[in-house]
Amino acid sequence: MPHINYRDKEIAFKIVYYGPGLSGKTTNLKYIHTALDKGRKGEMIVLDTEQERTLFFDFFPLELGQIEGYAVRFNMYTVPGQVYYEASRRLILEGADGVVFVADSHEGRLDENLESFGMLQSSLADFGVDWKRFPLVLQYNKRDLPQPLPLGTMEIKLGLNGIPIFEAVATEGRGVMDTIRMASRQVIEKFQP
Amino acid sequence: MTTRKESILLVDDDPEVVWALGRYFTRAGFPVTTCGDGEEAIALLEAGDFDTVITDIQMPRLNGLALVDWLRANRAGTRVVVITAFGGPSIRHLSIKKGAILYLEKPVDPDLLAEALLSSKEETAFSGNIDKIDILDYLQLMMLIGRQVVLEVSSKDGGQGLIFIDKGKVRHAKCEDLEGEEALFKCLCFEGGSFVNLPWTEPDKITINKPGDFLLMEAARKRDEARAGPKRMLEGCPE
Repeated sequence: MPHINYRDKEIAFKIVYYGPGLSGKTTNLKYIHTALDKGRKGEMIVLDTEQERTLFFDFFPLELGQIEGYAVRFNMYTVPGQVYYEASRRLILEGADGVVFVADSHEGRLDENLESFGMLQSSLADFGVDWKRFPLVLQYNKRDLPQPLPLGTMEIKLGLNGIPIFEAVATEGRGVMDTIRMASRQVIEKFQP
Repeated sequence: MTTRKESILLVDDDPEVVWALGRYFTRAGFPVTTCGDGEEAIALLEAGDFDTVITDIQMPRLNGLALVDWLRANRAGTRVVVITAFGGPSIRHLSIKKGAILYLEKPVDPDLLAEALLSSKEETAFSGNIDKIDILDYLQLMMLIGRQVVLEVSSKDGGQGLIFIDKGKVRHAKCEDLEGEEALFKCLCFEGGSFVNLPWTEPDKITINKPGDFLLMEAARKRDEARAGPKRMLEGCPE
């Protein structure tokens, strides 16, 4: 659930970018951070986890304004993808209001995508969250690869029905903002049905 | 509006301690009742209410930890402070686990004790005990609610550290010979133990300036890397 700061009249939602190592979570967040106006975003915090970096920043979305007089803030996180960063993933995922799952479209990485999604499901279950009712967006990243995974592969394997899907090339920014827009809309809708 | 001072039951078989602390708190305006062991204390508690019980551990007939057990079962709203001359990490851990809000080793600084009692008696606030919580989660909570507190963390094997949280921001940490971020991460990587909130005192220096989220995530990362150890070396390199 979001953190409500009664003193400063602010609601902070947490959106986590989840996925296997090197699937493009960090690239997504870096693109969003660069695209945001200076006055609406916080400093990007970078953690040197092995292989890839773990990022965090917060921002005030222009289009969402206020809820019941409370300013809306989004805290954006990536999780480290490597299997052994379990405590880190758990800490970051704890209290998440929505998740963007960034899948790697490389055909050889399907198993890693599925394994990572399994870890996400199991962590959410540990927190008592029913992931089928949880704001979740699936992004197929690296669509510029010569033979990307066909769309639908993950959904069929995982039995995902009706989950919003986006194609992206995060290095070019393609699909990145559409993905975060959908994730933030889902998060707000769940809070304010 | 005048605020009512906490009524205190002081339980110790050492007359010097009873005399010194009793006099201090009486002069400070607290209604104080004293007795010499756990059995006498229970008789007094059954006859009347006390806001706080300050108890020694080693006493004849019924010791202080048994008294804490009785209080948790029968007077859950009464706050307990444990004081002892024969303490150690395991006794501290046990006292806090049983529900003491504060554990102090003798000689007790009465100013610190009084400050702790005053700061914990805000009438709109709740008190309670948290068991089996990750120290990272607890630190996160202190940050979220903007607390000003000194968090004393003790490990099961005797390690101890202090984390100074000023209005939700970690400003300083000490752990054995270490200070600053190194000390903070050492405390946060203890493999289990206990913690207690001590009243705020200004740190003698500011050694930590990083944002709270960074500190939490960095601590989790260090834990993961320490636990994974050499196993990481066997994992594949980046594609």
